Amino acid sequence: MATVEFRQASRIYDPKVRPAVNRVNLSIEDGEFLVLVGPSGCGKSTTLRMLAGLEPIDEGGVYIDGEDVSERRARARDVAMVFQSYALYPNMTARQNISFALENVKMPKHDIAERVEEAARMLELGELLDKKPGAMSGGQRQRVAMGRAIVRHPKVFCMDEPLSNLDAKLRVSTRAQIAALQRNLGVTTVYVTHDQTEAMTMGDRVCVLKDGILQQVDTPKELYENPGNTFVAEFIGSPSITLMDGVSIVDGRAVLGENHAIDLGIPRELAENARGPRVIAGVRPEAWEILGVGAKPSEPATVPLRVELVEHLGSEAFAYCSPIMTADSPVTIRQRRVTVRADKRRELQPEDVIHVRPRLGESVFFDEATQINLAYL
Amino acid sequence: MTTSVDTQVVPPTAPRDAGEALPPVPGTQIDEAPQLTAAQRRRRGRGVDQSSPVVKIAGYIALAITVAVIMVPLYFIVITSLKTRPDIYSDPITWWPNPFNPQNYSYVMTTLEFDLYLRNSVIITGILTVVKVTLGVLSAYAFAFIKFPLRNFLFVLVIAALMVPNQITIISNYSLIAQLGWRNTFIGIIVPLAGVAFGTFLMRNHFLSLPKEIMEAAEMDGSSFFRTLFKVVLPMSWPTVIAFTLITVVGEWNEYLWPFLVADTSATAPLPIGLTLLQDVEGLTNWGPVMAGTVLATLPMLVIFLILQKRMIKGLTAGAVKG
Repeated sequence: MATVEFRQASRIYDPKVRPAVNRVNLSIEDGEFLVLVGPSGCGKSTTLRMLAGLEPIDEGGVYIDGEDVSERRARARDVAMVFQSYALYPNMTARQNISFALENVKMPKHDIAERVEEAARMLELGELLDKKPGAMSGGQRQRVAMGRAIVRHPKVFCMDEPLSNLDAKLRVSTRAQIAALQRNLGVTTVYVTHDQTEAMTMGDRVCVLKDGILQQVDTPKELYENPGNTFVAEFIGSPSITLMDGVSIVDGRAVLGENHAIDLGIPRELAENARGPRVIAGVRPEAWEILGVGAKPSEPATVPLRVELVEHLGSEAFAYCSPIMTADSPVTIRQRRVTVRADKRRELQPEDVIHVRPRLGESVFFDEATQINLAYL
Repeated sequence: MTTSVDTQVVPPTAPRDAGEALPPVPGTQIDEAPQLTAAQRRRRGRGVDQSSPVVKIAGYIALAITVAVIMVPLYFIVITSLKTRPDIYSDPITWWPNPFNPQNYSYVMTTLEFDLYLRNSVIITGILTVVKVTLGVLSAYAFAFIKFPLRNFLFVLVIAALMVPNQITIISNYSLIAQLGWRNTFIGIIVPLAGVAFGTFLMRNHFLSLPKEIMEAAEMDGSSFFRTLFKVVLPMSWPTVIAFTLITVVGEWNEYLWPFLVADTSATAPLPIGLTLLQDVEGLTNWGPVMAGTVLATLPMLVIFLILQKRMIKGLTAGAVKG
């Protein structure tokens, strides 16, 4: 049980290029499940390894329970790690793998046996205990690697993409198991993943990194509904949000379309935060309301879109559309793609023209210059 | 509950195992037999080997020649060691000893002190192998996993030592050993041969090829430096260690030039020197005892190789990481 704090922590491989981890400040509460997420090369694994003691901290500090551990070796930090490749000792059985750390601290034999039994019960290792890793499936190895971590009763768990070598179905079930296990044990956990579904479903809070810079830390719901900047908005959520540059603010209203007919429902205090006449608006796929299909709009004040591709997922479908813009529109849409979630009951075909409108109050707004959410300014 | 009515009800179909494949959905698959072309029929039962008979015969001939080149001289060593002297010189050569004469062996063993040479060889090879493997593994472990100043320079120096032929250092070594009064002693034979460059090189490269995460896991598990070596690194390295041991054993067993220079009595000289002395004693014509001595000198290596080769080939890293 411990709190973890990064204070201006950096990892600088080469002073000439940007740091792999750049002055990260992050406080993790006792018992919290924090997920580090970001695109590849964003420094999330490096951040985790700095906490574990496998990477040096070149600037700033890392504190566990208020104690500066920056110069302490990995073994002295009381942190356990689950590796992406599991890194089990191939010459040892599961039982030996799990008890290795306890033997290293010269724990009495019967205590070790007790702890191993406890871990085995929690992870349903049972008859696996006397097998070697070579004779196990990927999911079984993953569970042994988890066992090796929990048997130590460490202050902090570090998990580096522990599920990425499992197949999709097993990943979903193991995801739930790990989350439940962590809640039972109540051990502070830092979990690295590139899979944002994992991030959203497992974490008490999620920390988004890009190019070594911490972008935002918040609950999954808050990250999704109120992303701090356009990067977080685009990174969180699948399919990703549609961002529209150059949306006009007229009389305290963010408006879109011909004659400014479509109101995006910007709250008054956000409109006042806007530093210019225009803002960036973000609309999630499910925030678009499909009002009609066909050449002619059935309702006024809609945006026409041409469907390019439809992805049927069974329970729902996502239509990837190109906007049909008026020639003099100040608005540009990033990637020239608008993604719209459609109910499975609505049949959409490529080349259909659909008329949509963002639901009032479901859009997010960003400052044009800084790309920061107006709510955070 | 045992007499409950429910237990009488037989389920309509037996429950299937979770892993068993169900029959295809009706209407999706064709019932008739698949096509079978002439080429497909020819391939049947032949596995993946598709080479023509001509290529195969050529391959076997090449194989037979290679085996003959290696085996015929060995065969002649063995049968000559069992022949009487007139039989060895009979013309045309005979392919089978007549009469059978195993007395050559007892002659070399008892009269020519081969038992002593054999003992010396075992002592020298045994000590040298233990020393070299220990030094090789320890130095390689340091080169692979400890960061110290000039590490790379020192490693280049080790490799450079590999490039220098042994014969170059032999004169200075000899004068040093002679000055120390170590001629005709085991220590004089062993010390100059105990340097290890190849083993360091081989083991270091192997250690560096081990998955980095396993070393990190050992560090996280609080394993001490030497415990990591013995419990984690070496168990993953047995094939390489055994290969290195085998190379060392064979190399030291057959070591000739240096022991020949510093030892010339049966008190310390190993088998190859014994063979030379044997030839000196028996003259250049009595091949029977010489060949018997050769067989005796070769046999232990053959046995060791047969014992170790299986372990050498067996891969032990399987299952360490995703595989």
